[in-house]
Amino acid sequence: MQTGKCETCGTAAPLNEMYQSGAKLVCESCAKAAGASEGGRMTPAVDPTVCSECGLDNGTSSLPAVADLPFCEACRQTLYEREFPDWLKLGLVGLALILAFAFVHGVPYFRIGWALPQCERLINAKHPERAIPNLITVAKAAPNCEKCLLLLAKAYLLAGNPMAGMQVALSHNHGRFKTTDLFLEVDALGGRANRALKLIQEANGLAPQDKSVEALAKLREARQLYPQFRNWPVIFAEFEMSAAFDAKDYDRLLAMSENFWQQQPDATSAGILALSLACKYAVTGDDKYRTAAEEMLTKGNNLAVTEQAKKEFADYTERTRYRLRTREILSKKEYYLRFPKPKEEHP
Amino acid sequence: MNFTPGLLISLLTFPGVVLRAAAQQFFCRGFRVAVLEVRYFGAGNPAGYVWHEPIDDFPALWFVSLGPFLISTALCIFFCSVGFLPLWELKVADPAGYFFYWLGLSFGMHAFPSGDDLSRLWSLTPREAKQYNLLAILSLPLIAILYALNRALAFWAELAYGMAVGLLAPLAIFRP
Repeated sequence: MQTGKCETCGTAAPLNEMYQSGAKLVCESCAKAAGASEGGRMTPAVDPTVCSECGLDNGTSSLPAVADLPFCEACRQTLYEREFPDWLKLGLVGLALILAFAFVHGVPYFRIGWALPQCERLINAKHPERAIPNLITVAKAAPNCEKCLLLLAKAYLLAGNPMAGMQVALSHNHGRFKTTDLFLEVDALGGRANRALKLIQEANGLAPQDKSVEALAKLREARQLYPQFRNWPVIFAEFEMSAAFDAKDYDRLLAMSENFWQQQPDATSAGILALSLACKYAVTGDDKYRTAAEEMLTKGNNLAVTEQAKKEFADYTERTRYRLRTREILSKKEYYLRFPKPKEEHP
Repeated sequence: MNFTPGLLISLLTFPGVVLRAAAQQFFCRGFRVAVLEVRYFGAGNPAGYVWHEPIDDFPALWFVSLGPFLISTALCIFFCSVGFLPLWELKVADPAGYFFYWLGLSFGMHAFPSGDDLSRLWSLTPREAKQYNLLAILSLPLIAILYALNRALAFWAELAYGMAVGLLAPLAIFRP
């Protein structure tokens, strides 16, 4: 331990009990007195032979300094390996647990968070149908997310499924959304789809009145309004085939049905082709048409996967079989007037 | 106790204060830097600190100064993202989302390195960069920005940084 002499009163005292003001060394009592007058600018003097942490006296030898403070070997070691307190260790374990919980909790949101921009990109890249499955999942997880619902409605509308699009939009707050660019876009698209559907209805009303030209003009106007509608090939094909059927031009009807089947080989086109072949069988009695009609029924049956498609195809099958059995050609309306559909039972 | 806005904010965001001090102590230990005193949280300014010996070794100084900053920032982005997605983006009333947002902002608001460490880092980095120290070259812009912000805004730079990271980073990630 080193001693020092107070430069004010001359008292000798252990160095680490004295104070310094610049280069001036003073004892505790003088420091207190001087501290008041000098604004407290007194710092404890450091004895290089006494450990700052445990007070170990190293005699006359100076201890190694860390940050200008002397420390014995044991205390110096603790400075380099300072332990974390237990409460902090527990806290860090708690933080790790919260982190894990947040991760598990956040994974579904992260998936949605990543999926949304991807869906937007798919829609903008004109692949809305590929965005729909992801957007359905998103909409289920976040039923109040207006952006998610509007994106799903937009995807449906652009994929040519206006009814699904409108249903999604109407499912939220009676179709009311905050006015955003996306909302205005979907609203405009939905409006065009709605007007197109009305025009299709009007065209359907005109067709039986021998106003095919006006009906066709309405259909073309509707297609211009909403070109994305996926049913256009079916609507136009059915409309033209219906005109051929009404004119009893079964050769043209068969040619168009075959063409439709080539372009869009699904249960609907298979059913229409089967009916057309049945017409030819009815008027010619040639078995090759009957055999071909049966083959189309088998193909169509295999293609009808969904419940709705199966139900629709059952209707084609029933009318084709009737036509093949009786060789009597009835329109759909005539057929169901004669053989009304049984009412569906509800539980 | 004098309730200054700084103290009140520190109280409300104490996990960030504790984490920064703990992370700094962790890096000091890792780089064999003597820690003379640690305060994880207290009613003072700063609310938490690590008093370590002066560091001359650049990598050690870099990690002791910026390691806690990077950890706090990463946790801020993560927790704020977990809160941001349900609450802001998907409008799902998720109470856990509010908790995660608070936690994330707490970490972000105390991510900033101390003024002393930044000053020391700022004085060493250009010299190290001139000696082709890759760490110094790559981090020089970040250190310059942090140093300038710290000088300009002092305490409020921390808060502004936390708010900016917590609110803008999830936006940047999930609304590209």
